[in-house]
Amino acid sequence: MSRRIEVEGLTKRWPQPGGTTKTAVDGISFVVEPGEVFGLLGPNGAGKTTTLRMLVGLEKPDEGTARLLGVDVHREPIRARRNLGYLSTTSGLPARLTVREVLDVTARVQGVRDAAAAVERVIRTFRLSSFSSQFISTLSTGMLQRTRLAVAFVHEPPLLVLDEPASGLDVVASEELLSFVVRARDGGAGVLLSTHVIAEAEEVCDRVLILLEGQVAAIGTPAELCAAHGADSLRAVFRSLVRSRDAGSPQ
Amino acid sequence: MLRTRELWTRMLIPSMVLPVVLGGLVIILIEMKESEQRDRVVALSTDTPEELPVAIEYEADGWQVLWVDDPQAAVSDGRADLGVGPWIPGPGLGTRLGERLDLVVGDAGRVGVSRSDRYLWTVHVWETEDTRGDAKAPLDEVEDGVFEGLVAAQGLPSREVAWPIFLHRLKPKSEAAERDSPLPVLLGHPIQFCDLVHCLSVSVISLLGYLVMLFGTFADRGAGIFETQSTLAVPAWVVFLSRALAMVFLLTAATLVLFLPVFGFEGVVDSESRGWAEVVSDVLASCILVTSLVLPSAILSQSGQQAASIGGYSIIVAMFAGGAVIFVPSWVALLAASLVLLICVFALDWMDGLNRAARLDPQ
Repeated sequence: MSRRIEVEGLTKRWPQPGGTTKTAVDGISFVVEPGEVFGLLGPNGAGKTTTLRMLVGLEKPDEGTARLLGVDVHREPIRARRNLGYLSTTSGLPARLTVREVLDVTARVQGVRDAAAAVERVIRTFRLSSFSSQFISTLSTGMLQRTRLAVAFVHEPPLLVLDEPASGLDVVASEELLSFVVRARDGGAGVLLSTHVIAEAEEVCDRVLILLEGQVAAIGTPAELCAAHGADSLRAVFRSLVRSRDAGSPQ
Repeated sequence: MLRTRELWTRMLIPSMVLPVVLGGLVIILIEMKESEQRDRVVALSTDTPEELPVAIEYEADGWQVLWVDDPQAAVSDGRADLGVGPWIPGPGLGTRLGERLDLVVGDAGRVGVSRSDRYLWTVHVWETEDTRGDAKAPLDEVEDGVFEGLVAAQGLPSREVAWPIFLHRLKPKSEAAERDSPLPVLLGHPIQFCDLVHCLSVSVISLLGYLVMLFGTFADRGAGIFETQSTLAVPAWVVFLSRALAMVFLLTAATLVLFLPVFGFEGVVDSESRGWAEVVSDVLASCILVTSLVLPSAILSQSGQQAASIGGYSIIVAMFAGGAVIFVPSWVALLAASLVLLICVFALDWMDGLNRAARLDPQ
């Protein structure tokens, strides 16, 4: 099976007032294998969202390449996106469509042959049947996030890119959502999970990449990272890396 | 794509309520006015036959003004040179003046003809051997007198009756009207009443387009719907085009419903040069132009305030552009507007417009 994601030297610079630039993502490289949940960890402003946006084609990188199942996302975006399910905190759904209608339209646009069957399947999988006839505007935060995940999943993509999927959810809803992620992985999908909640990463991620100020600070399985830093948890590794960065900074 | 379905199924119906209600009110008013005016007819004649069924008689600028019970009879047998009457029964909407005259007037070469719209008094004058050179005020100067007489006969103060009277001078054996219109000729195009109605409708289209842009397209950007669409396996130009077509459909439907009675009873019937197809085509072209101008405002703006101000400038341009379609043939206007829309759609695609929402808040 081909690698789900291959990232090489991805770099993004934002223009700043005065003609200068700020490097948001600085030459990062990693791969995501099939059947793997790959965690992207970092504090706020580390460049996680920018990385994900470049991966799904929402932003053009200044340098580097990103391939989804071997397809360059910036050279062949439509082909690359056929294999992609994307969920982010900023992506929205039409308020005046019902859950079922949103799923149906998405399935058709994504080229699913039997859209009706696909919609029924995700409604069952994500337990949406009790509110599938409701308008998007009437959904609670938890319902909405499950619907978003179902939208990302309706065409059964071999790759999921999830940006803070549990954001705003309570503990129960968050655990439920993560269980869907694990099921997707068990089904062979590659999952890139961006989060700043260490516990989430420890629970579901097979490997993690810790991003600090746009650069790769550490990459490996949680066990490997703990061993390398002499820590007993991923949280401790993260703290250690952040302290090292702060100690090395001019401040 | 998502938005198109939403617009067609849910937003269209509520947005149609106001135009439908207004259109219904216009129709009801017209019917009421017509019922008021039924059987109240003015005929001007140099030689009033005794057998003419006169209801009211008065004089205006040397012309004898008669209200007769049956205007068709008065004009069809040639006893009236000029008449004003209610809607002439017959083919009705969309029928050209000439065709209607043929139905009403037997000997069109000699007699005057009575014709009016239901709520717009329209006086047609045919110069005949009998009236030419007569020592009376020219017919186009009789307007005020005829109007005042009408008003007086109805027992209304003139300020309560605002319907204008247009005098049309018809050549013998001719079916075309030479207008004695107070409206100017611009760029070689004699402005007609229907052109004014068209410009009014373009203003309404522009304002509607502005609202759809602000509360539809731009609001969707803020809600992240563009971001969702831009990660689907569909080209950005398809998303833009589907949105544009939905907006064009919405604007066209709303405008036609709102202005249909006006176009129908005043615009088309009063015009010799524009039929239904031309009217609808011009409205469609204007809607496409408005969409072409307001869509980029929603896509390229960096804030709601910017969208509101750029959109404001856009609709001013749209009003002029939409109004200008009356100076070119309808098919040219439609083709040109469609080309402008396609250029805008592909330009937005080239400018990566679908992803621009993200740049509002880069991380």
